[in-house]
Amino acid sequence: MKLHSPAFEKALRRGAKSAIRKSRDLKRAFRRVRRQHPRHYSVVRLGRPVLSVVIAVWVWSVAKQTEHVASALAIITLTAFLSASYRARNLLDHLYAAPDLPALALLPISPEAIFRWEFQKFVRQAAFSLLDLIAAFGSLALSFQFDAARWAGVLLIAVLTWAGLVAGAALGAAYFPRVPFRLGGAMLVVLFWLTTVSDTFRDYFVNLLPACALGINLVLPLGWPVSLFHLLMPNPHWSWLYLLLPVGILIWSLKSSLARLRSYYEFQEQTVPPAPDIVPGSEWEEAVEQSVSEDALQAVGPTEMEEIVMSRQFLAEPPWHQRGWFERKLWDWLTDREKVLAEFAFPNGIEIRRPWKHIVITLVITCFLAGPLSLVFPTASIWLLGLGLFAGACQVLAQLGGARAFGLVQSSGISIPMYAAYGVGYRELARMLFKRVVVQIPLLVAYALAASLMLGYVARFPLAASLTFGIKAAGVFFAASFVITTFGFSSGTNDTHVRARTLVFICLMVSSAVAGLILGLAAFLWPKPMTSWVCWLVFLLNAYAFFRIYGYFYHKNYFDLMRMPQQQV
Amino acid sequence: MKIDLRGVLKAYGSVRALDYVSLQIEPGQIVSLLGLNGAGKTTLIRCLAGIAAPDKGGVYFDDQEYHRDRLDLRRRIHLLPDFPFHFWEQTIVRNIAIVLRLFEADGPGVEQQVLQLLREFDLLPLALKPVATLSRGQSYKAGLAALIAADREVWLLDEPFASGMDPHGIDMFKRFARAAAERGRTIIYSTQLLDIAERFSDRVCVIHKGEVRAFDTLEGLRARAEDKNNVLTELFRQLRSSE
Repeated sequence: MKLHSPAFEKALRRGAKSAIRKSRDLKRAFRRVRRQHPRHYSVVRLGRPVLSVVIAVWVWSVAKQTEHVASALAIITLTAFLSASYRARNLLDHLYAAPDLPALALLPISPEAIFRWEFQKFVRQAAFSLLDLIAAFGSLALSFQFDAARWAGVLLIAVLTWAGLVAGAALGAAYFPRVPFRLGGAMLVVLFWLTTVSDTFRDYFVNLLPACALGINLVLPLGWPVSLFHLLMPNPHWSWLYLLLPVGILIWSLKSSLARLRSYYEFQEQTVPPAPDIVPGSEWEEAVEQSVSEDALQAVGPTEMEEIVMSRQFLAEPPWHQRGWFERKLWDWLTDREKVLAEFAFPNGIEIRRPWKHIVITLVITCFLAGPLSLVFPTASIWLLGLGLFAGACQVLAQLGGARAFGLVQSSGISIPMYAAYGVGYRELARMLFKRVVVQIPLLVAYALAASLMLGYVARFPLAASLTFGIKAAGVFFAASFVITTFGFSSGTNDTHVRARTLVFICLMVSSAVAGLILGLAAFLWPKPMTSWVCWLVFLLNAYAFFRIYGYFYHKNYFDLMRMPQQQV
Repeated sequence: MKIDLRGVLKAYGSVRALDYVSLQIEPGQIVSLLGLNGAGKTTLIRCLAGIAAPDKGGVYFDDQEYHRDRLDLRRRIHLLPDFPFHFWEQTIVRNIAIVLRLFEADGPGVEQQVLQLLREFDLLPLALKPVATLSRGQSYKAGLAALIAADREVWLLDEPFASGMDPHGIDMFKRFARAAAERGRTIIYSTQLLDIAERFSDRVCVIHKGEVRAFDTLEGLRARAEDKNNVLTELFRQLRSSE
């Protein structure tokens, strides 16, 4: 975007210069003004290349100490990653806290144009990171005495890494704006201090680097373009080219990140309202009256409110069934009463498609990272896969639970669950929640099978064993819904408060839970297939029994539907 | 709906919040629960709402013992705690709609009733605002509007006069409650304000240390009191001195 005309500015500058040259008086005045207002040069801009040199020396010294190129690349990866974190904050500052924003907002310029302008400024500033990367890679190229063709490759990799850095920064700013990105800069300083300045830690960290360098370069996204440097080394392994694909995806994500940032971008200057003690008849009073009348025009007036109420719009069920195929199926299956309970349990509507999309993304990213990693670092890939699958399983369990009806509300010093205040029944609410889980069974099975197949591939399990594991895992997820629902009801009660009356209840629940644990383990670990399947089946039945036993005591008023601070008990 | 508490004992550890309380409340009455702090008023309301489970004795509605599986009985009762339970990010009308549908009270004509309530409680201009943006009094009014619109047989209110409502809101509540009592609804509320209890209740229930010390009409209490003009004040003075 051009907020000014460079051609006009150039012509103006030339015209002014020639006018000064022609007139002696103007020349004198020009010199006088110049003496009074000397030109300012930004120390930061002038000194910034020094930082690039420091980074270059750092990378070079690590390469020299370790004699291991991956270790030096790991330092570049960490630098790029932490810089991306810092730049993410920088981007948010540009978009929402740049000093020129209040002025721009007053001009007849669309928010999109302001966004573009601020983003351009951000990219220009981020060019210093490109300088850092060129210096870092250049120091390595110098130490390995690259020829001109390889130097061109170095420049290309530096540019790719920089593009990834900018894309990563935009990704962070768009999707995780609350993350304390500013810490990235501080962490970079700490890392530098640990690996260079501190005598205590330097040797330890530098010796540690060769062991974990490959992991750092493959796990951190900015390590992917950095790792392409291996291609420039003598006798390169061409499988590194495989990394071009995730690098491309990372850079391509810039488009969607910017679209997301742009979609809710609107700068608004924060204004302080005038003090209430306005002198009658003053200009302030008129301004306030004017602003009040403007607000009134924008707000929905009582007449419109009346129409909304009288048309029964407010009583209409929220159209969550339009969100996707699974939501529609669930909607068709629920009875009228269950739809009401669904609205109560999920006031923003039931969501199936979107959370599962996130679960699938987690699985895909995990597979994507673990797959190539297993070729070079099998143990690390199993750990990574385990971590990813654990995160995915947590997402699945959160999707199976998470009803707002179990939320606790403070009342006179105690906490009461929402469902208890409105007399919502145990069975009716649970039935609705189970229907919600049953609709998701195909997704559950697909997820469990995909995850177990991936695990089987990495751990070299037979295909049949992986499939069996997946089906059993899907059953466990389904059974977990009974337990999650029971715990949902239990979370707002004092059922664990041991009294003579609740002793039988607690014993029954604990024994059912222990039996479930043993059966669950036997279902996966028992060597004989038939017995393990029987254990799995009994495990499912036990989970259902757990839910029903709890329901029996719930209905018999064995405990209160409230939780109180321990000291009151 | 006739309410009957038969020997209800509710203890929290060694403290008896309700000590074998027996009480009968006929339909169409406004009953105020009075007592010192920690006397057991709120516990009594929670027992009636099925939130607190009596350790002994039982709560009967129309001579049917109440257990949590009796949803038919529970849906005839509406509880409004001192801090109403709202979905804070939702608008006032949406919260009212959820409550109405939960109690299956969203039939034809309810919109008229809701509109009237929003007007009377000065909530109409705020109807599309999230409850989280309201003051405490306004959010209580929103809860009250839902309670009145749902129009259950038993209204249970915990400290409605200490809810932050403005005088107009309090006046409206009294009017709606009185009209509901005339339709046969039972209104049970707890309060610490003796003058309000004197003027706005058909029966007064005085609870002290979990025991019902008095449950009578104001005239009945007056007939037994020495100071006829300050019956309740006199009664509380006696309770304090007996501690």
